[in-house]
Amino acid sequence: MGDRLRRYLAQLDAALADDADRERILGEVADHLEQSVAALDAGLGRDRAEEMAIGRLGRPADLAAEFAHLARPTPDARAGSAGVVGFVAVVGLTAISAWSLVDPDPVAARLPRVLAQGAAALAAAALAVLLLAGRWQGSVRRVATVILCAVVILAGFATVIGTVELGRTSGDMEWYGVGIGAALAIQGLLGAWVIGRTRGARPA
Amino acid sequence: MKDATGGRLTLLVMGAIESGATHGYAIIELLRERSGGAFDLAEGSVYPVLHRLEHDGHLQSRWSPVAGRRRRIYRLTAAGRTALNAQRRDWQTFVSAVTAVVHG
Repeated sequence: MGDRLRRYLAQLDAALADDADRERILGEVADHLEQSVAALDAGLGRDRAEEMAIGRLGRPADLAAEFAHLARPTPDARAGSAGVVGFVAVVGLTAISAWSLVDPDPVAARLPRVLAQGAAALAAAALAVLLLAGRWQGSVRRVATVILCAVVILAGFATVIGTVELGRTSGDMEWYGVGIGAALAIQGLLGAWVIGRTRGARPA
Repeated sequence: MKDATGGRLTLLVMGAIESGATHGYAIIELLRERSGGAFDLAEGSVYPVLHRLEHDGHLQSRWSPVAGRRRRIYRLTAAGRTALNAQRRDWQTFVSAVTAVVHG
């Protein structure tokens, strides 16, 4: 590969910035340029062939902009709904926790636990929809999804610990509660792992 | 980038893949040859279309070794074939309507 092609690929590499598909794009473009130059070389000579192959492909900045446009999240009703549900769940969890602290009534104390599990499940559902929709890229949504992951993880561990503690003191272990808590914690951890693994990725 | 295909690049790319072109350069060459040079488009515009089609579930791709190099190979999915057929029908309807108007 000639210097001209290497320079082009270096410029494209820089223009693609932190695109998660950078390696794939560069690989495809390098292969394309090699084929294009090989086809043009016979009639034009290597130097002119490289120049023409690059000209046909377009400027690195324009090509990178096309990919960046693809990566930009678009408004999505599912993501919006999931965000609202997640927000409500977080507010609900906070309110229920505060209520439990100020009201020692047994009925009130049991009700918040049920509601808290429901709110945690809603948060988990919102996280699942966001992850499945692939609309969590972009700084604001990304931060919101990371927070949602943290909420789901905390809700999961709190549910496991709370259920085990309650079972230990009452002698009646509610294993379904442990299962729900573990599932929540695993989902939150998996969500955080997915986000960490695909930094800057386009929806996929 | 300039679109020399009248906004039909998605249809053309899927049609080219169905015709046997499996990677970016082959798709571009097929478009150029079959259009008699009319679709001498900015070649870089094809790759974002391929990526978008894959994201939409219309294509699948994988790396394949070719003469010591890696080449990204594409193929239509079942959903892609359905979408291609639907776009073909839309195009035929459009062409028929324009023809009827222009040629009376």
